Amino acid sequence: MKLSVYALVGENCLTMEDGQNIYNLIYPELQAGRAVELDFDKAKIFASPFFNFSIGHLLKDIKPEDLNRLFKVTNLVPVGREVLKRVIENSKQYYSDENTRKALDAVLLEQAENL
Amino acid sequence: MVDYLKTKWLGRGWVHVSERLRDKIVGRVWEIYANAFEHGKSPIGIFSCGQHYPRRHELKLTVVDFGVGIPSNVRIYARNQNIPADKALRWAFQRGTTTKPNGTSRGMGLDLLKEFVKLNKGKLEVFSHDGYAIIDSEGERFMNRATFFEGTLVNITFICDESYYHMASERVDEEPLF
Repeated sequence: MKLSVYALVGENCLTMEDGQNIYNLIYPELQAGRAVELDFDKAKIFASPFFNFSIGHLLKDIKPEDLNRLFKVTNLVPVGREVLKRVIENSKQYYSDENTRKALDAVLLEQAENL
Repeated sequence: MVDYLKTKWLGRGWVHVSERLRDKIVGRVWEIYANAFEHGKSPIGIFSCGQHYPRRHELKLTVVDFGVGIPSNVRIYARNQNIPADKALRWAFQRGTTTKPNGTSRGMGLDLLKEFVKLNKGKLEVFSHDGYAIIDSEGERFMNRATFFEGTLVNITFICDESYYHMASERVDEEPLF
């Protein structure tokens, strides 16, 4: 499946709502083992909530090696790629496994409680 | 909001930046609005204004909300009302921290903006309740203040000279994404 981000959300890839809409379209395909191409042609402005919800969240249930095999991002300008890479780095750590995620949430809370 | 940033703030002809840099700045600054809307819960919305200082080659943007305030959000999350404002701000400004850990990876927005201002000789100042944070190329400082601001005020300063800016290269990145 090939999806045009511009056709779905326009040139601004910013909000978690738009990210979630993209996620809802691509997640079932990837989960079923089908290839997905997300085309960012004409998309210009990027922020982390959009990528957290559209792509970062995929790492919760799908392994990085499967995503590398099935999921392709095309025509993403360097400004967007920079944000996406940071989001993926953070998400990989966060979703590395259920225990890590719970541990990270707990550490975050403990850190705050000990301030 | 994006149109305001693109056409009224950056695009008035008082700053000469390429379209590519403009889009990058707008994306980074938008993270502040996203935070203000999501965490501020301001009953009367958000106020924003900008000013150009030609002699100093600076462009400033201020975003204000009259909502919960960062120290208060951190105290509610930590279930500890005694956390000093400077410590609460320091915690909130770390990469990956969020007061909304709902099973989704979060907390990247401020980090991206911080990195951007540090790298490009800009400045990010935050006044929230009795806390104050300043982030620039010298580092990050967090302080307690005698005056109390009922909400959060974010002041961002950019240098209006494209040569200051570090941009990622245009070459196609062949590395695997994940």
